[in-house]
Amino acid sequence: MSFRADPRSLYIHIPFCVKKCRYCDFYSFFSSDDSFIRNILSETLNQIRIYKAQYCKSNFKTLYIGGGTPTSLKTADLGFFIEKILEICDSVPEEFTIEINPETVDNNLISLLAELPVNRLSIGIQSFNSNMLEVIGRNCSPRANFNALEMLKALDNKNLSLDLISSIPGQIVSEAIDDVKKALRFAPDHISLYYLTLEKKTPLYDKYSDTDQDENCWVEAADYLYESGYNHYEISNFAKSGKESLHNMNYWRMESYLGCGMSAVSTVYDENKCGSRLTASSVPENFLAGPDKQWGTKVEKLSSYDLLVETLMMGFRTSEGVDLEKNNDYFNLDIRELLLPVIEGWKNKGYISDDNKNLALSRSGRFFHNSFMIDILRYLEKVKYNFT
Amino acid sequence: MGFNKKYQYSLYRPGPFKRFFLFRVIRFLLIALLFYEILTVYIISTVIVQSSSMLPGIQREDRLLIVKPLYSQYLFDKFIKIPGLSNPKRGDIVIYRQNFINNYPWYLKPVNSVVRFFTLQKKNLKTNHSYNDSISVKRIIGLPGDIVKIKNNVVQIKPSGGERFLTEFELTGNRYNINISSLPENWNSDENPFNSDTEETAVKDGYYFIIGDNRELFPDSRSSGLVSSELIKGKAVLRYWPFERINVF
Repeated sequence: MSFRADPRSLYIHIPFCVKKCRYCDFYSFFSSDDSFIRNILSETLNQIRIYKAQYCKSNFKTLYIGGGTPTSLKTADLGFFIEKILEICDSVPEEFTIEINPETVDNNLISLLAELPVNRLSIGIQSFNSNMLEVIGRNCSPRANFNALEMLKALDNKNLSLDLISSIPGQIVSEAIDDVKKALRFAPDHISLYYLTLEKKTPLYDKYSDTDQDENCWVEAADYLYESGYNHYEISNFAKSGKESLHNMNYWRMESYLGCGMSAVSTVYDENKCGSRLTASSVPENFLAGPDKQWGTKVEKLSSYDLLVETLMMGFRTSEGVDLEKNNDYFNLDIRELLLPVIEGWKNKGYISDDNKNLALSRSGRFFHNSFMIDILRYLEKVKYNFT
Repeated sequence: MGFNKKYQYSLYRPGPFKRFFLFRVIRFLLIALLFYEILTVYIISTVIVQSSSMLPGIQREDRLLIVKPLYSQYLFDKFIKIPGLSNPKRGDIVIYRQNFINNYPWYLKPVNSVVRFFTLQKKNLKTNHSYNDSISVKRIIGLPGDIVKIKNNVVQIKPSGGERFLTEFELTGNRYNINISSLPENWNSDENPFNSDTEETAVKDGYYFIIGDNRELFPDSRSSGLVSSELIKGKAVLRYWPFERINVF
């Protein structure tokens, strides 16, 4: 299988939520209209069926149901929906993740998860501190977080991944570390520790854009996780050995992937090493217009240069770095040679790890990922690199 | 006292005794493993119910005793068939592996059972195939030769050779209740694309129509189709825990 030829990952977006969190800028909304919800899900299945036939030569390796809150669906709807996805996929993927919000965990959900081949549960804990949960507008209490984790932990053969948010306005370092300590009580296989970004157009931005965020909260919490034996394999992600998210690694390696559902994004590549990024409509009527109107999809073309820049940007987020062998071959150039002046400068600071196969930022170097990428982009502009 | 003499003799020669002791321990463990494997895979086992899919009759965390030789068993997945003492009957509560489980390397299960045995069930080979070990507990409603359809969550069956459809309750003698108390509104309306009312389906030879008593939960034959007899692993005969709800099925 040649690099980037065939999408092996499928993301499915469930746009429904119980309540919109203040920090969230993903496309999601609340609906109590069951038949509307089912029409959206049904059209999503239709899109999966058609996209798979159109773009895939082999079966999916990873499947990820995210949102929104997939588990806000009625259990009967969710169970039926997942079964139909598996029927279309015609095989059980190696990694099958579903995002779960703690307030939606009940006996019915646990029963469903016990019987379905979902093997990775990504749980949006965010914090165990009631004040912090209040600030970010989570519809959940610390007690509900603990209860949900206890119920999910009891399930056999599921990898647990916990999402935590750090550097919340008003949070102090000891509170951030306390969140991590509480998360570690459940010995999760994977933890995503996000630095809270105040996105414009979110209620949190309107309310707290003038309040300081203590960056040390995230840094200290990240160090604590690293010292607890978790592999810091991507800027915001930590995993026990062998429990890294295959689905997300696929994104960071800039492999092709399909995304189905309202506002979901797919990226596919053609034989000229150019990409197409397809984003389905976030307007229900347009999405429900179906394949005749291409689900209201917007297409963004990616040139080889765009693709190279994204490959560098995503690759340097990870401890694995940019795979030189595959990418040199794919772009038909020598990436190390191309970026040599920038690489040398950063290597002298001790921020680059470079074996023959991969070029990566070291763990301490990844804290400066933004500055590093600015250096790279400036340099590429200066040398006016193009693919002619 | 010949026995004592022998024992003392051994004590004075620690080398051979130790070797012999080790050999006996290994032999004992291997025999125990073999016995355990034969007992749990082919004769009798217990399960802790992981799902509410058999509510109201069976709850999560209930413990059931499973008898295997009543139905045909398949050694090494499906290579060798051992005929069962009888065939599955309508209304039987069974344990089975789900349809969507595939690409299961045949050697993984025996290797996993060795690991589990020697680690006192603490360790499981956590491969991405682990879910293949999970089983479902549900009820057989449709037998080979039947025509089955679902109307308002109740299974209607035209048995092989029969002339009209009868409900599952008529055919099983009202032995159980179903749970539809909190199904979403309009679940059974024609507009619902997920409506689980099905058209008439003929149950093929070697297949069964299996469904949970709790009609709110999936997966079962409504969504994933008929279940091959190879996937049916045994019949639940007894709930032995919790103590106050002990009963024979």
